[in-house]
Parts: sequence; structure tokens; C-alpha cells
Amino acid sequence: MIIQVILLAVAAAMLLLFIRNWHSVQTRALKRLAFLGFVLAVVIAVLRPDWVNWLAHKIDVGRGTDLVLYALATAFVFVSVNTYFRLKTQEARFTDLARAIAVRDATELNAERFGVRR
Amino acid sequence: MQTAEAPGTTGTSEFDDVWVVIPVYNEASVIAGVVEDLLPTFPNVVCVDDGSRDDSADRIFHTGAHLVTHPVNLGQGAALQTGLEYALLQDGSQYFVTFDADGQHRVEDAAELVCAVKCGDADVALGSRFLSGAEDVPWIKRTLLKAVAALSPAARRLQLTDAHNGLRVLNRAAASQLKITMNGMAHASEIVDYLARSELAVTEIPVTVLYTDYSKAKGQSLINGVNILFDLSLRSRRSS
Repeated sequence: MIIQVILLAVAAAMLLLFIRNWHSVQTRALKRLAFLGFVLAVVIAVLRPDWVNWLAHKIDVGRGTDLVLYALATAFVFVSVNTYFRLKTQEARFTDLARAIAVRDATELNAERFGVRR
Repeated sequence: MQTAEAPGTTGTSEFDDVWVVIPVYNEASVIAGVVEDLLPTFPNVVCVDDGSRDDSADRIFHTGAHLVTHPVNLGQGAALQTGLEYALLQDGSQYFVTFDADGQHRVEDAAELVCAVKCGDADVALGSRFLSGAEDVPWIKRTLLKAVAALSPAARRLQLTDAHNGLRVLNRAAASQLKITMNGMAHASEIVDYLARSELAVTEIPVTVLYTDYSKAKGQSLINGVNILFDLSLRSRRSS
């Protein structure tokens, strides 16, 4: 029950991030904090596996393993969305670059072809 | 001062300040014909070869059209934007026509659109297949295109009947403000959206689209509409 609430909340948060500006400074800071938290959780989970189990029971998840699986799925969605936006930004820059090259070369080429003074 | 009179055309024409922008991707078999049809009327034509794998670039090179070559394939929207930016750089360019490479548009329709912008008070003229009868448009395409026009808030605001026609004319103000960011096929909706948000006066002119077997084979598959919708729904989120 509790885990369902948590997972739905995470999904909602993800959607909100998706709709709002992904590249804003706050979002970037949030992403870094989330990453720190994730690393910390990993360290604890490795050192104290029983704590994970305990936490899982607290939020109505059967086993610690299941909880780790949920966390993994959530992290995966997050990474996918992040990668998607990053690729989009990359594509925009790549387009600008290709366009600049195309226009520069074409100006020269067509000036030669038609003998235009520029 | 006019630039770049294409070889073979003489003197000045009433369309000296008009630039026709054609995005080209693998159209080697028809592109030269399309350009040759245009040149007697429109002396300034720029073809943007979007990284074609056939010899489109070579065919264009031997016509009187300006040739701009994308070093890699970027998509039709990107090619249009490149062509517009190139045309905007040319001396004396005032009006900008977007024209499909597959020969589905008629030159006289383009001329009529230019006149609507030049002589009328519109900043932008869009071609519409549906303003006056549309017997030639395949029915499934007709239904879909009309649905898009009816469902799109931007198209509704502008009272457009055809939101995805490749034939458009923009004056300098409209063309220089336009920044197409949708590299792929979603640019048509993006342009309509831009027009709806702007203060520009937009008019729609009936045109005839020639559905040849060639253009039908090359045309948009309907399933690609899903891709277009997806791209569009995310666009506004990225740009801010």
C-alpha cells in the first residue's frame, strides 16, 4: 500500500519534470542531489542488507530484493528521460553546426557557379 | 541590385525578389524537371539537398538552381530552415516560397500565392487542397488532414482548412522570425503554430496538388502521424 503511493508519487514527479523545463538549474541541482542519495542508498544496501529488508517491510514490500527492483525500475525511467532530452539538445546543436557548414559551403559554391559578387 | 540570375533566364521578371526553397531528399528522378519548370517564372530557386544518397545533388548542380548541401541527413524541417536562411542572406530577397521536390505543386499556384502576399495585405499565404473541392485527394488522406486541421488549436485559430500543405509563401518579416526546430516531418504543424502565435496576417489560397504515382509513393505514410504527434507534444517543453 505505502509502496504504491511512493511509486505513484515518483511517477507523478517524473511527469512533472518532463513537462517542466528539464534543463533548468533547479532540476539539475535536484538531479545531483538524487544521485547523491542514490549512491548513499547503494552503500547502505551493500553494507547492511538487513536494513533494506527492514525498510521493505516498513513500506509493505515483501522482500528487500523487491524494493531494490522497484528502485532500479524508477532509476531506469529517470535515466531514459534524461538521455532523451540530452539527445534532443545534442541534435539541435548538431543541426546548427551542419546548417552553418552547409550555408557557408553553398555560398562559395553558388558564387562560383553563377559568378555572383558578394 | 538583384543576385544570381540563373543561367538561361534573361532580364528582370516580376518575381526577381522571390526565392523558392525546395527541400530535396532522394528525388534524383524528378528534381531537375521540377526546377526547370520553376525557373522561367521564378529565377531564384534554392534546393537544399538533405544528404541524399542518390545523385540528387548532381542533378541540381546542372540546373540553374542554387545548391545547398547538408553534410548529413537532418530531415525535411531542417532542410527548409536551411533553405530559408540561405535565401534570407541573398541580396534583394523579399518573398520566400516553400515548394515540394516531388512535383506535386503547380508553378502557377506558387505564383498566385506570391501575388497574394505581394499585392494583398497578407504576410503569409498557405496553399490549401480543400478550399475549392478536393476530388483528387485520396479519401483517407483527406479525412486525416481535415481532422488534423480541425483538431489543431493553432490551425483553428487561423481558420485553416489544410494544415499540412508544402506550398507556402512568406514575406521577409515572417521568414526571418521563423525558426523551425522540428527537423523531421512535424515542422508543418510547427509552422502553423508559429503563425498562430505571431501577429502575422495569414491567408489561405486554394491550390491543386498533383497526386502522381511518384508523389503518392514518396508521400507521408499515415503511421508517421504518430511520430509527428509525439515530437510535437514534447517540443514546447524543450524550447524554453
